[in-house]
Amino acid sequence: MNSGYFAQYLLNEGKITQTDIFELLKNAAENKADTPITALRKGMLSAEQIASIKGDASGEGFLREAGKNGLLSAVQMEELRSAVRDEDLAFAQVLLDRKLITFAELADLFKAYDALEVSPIRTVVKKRALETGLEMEADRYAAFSELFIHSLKRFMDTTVVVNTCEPIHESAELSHIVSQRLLGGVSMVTGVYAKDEVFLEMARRYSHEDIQSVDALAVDCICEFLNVVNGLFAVDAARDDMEIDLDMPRVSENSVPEGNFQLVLVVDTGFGGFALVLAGDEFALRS
Amino acid sequence: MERKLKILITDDSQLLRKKLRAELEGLGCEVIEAENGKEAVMKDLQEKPDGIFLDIVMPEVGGIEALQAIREVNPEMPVIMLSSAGTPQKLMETLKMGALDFIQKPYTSEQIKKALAAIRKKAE
Repeated sequence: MNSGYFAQYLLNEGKITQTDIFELLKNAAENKADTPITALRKGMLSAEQIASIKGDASGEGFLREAGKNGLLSAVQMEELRSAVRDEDLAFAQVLLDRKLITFAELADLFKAYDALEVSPIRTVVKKRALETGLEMEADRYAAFSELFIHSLKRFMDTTVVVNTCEPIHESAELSHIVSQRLLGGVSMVTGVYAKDEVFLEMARRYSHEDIQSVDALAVDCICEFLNVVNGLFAVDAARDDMEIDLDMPRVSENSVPEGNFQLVLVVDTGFGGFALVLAGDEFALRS
Repeated sequence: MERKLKILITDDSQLLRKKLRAELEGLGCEVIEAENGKEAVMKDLQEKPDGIFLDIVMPEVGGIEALQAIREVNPEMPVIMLSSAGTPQKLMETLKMGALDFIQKPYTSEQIKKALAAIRKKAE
């Protein structure tokens, strides 16, 4: 069963649009899924059974009705009561609340999502790389991005999607870029390019420190985060007999990265968007 | 009562040093810090720590060179490599050079406790 990439899957499939995504992610980050959706996901109830339950359609009221109708056992009800927050379900709940989707559609989408053999992150990054003419780099960039997004979720506790669109070239003002070169078996530069308010929030989330401005500690946090992700990528690459060394991270303010074989991915999270920049070699920084 | 261990943390990351210091002080250690390999070698000589946590990717002098220099002066010094670059080759290289252990970043509290126990065993 896939987990944590349902929003990305829906975006890839065109079920939601990139215009809506930030608001939906923000709402999902503040929400927990209600009982019916959890019961559907766990295969305890079908969409039809959920629709058949009249009256209170949430929480304890829903459980009571489902129990009365003989649809759920006491053990199942207890399991639903103690279900922990699930990112995919929280996102699906937001779609249901906004009437963008029905339980029946959701059941079909979960089925298709679980049948995916390639992660939705790899799919979107590979597609974006191929659209950018980066055939040789597509697989490597997709593999790195998958690890990066996984780490972002793990260390910054947020729902994430990689946008399917080309980035809009905005002003470089009040922004920071942190990058690090990977050498040896693979030559690649990875970078995080963010407006200061998002950069600061990333630093706070990674460090769990109350950082008030983009100071030396905030910059150091993002350098360390990128260094850790690149290190994990190097360890993965070593399994394919590829030895990778890491260079020192590089930091720049108010610049736009321009590199060879460059792919800029817009990453949307529950706290804002930033760009993940991948290039074949060290990128130049234009003010 | 156990003797208080003096531990040298060497990492260019301010965040890493801050977090690891808190972790080690919580385990009853006295902590000193260095920001790069050159400083680590100096502090090894001046402060005579019981053990060292050493990053690899650092400015000026990196962790591998620092490890070599420390081993030349102080072959018995327990050194724990603590780095993001934990590939099998780096692991082998540093263990051959005499490092006591290698911890891949991000570390866990459990790994630090185990490393500290290994340092204590060597120190006593």
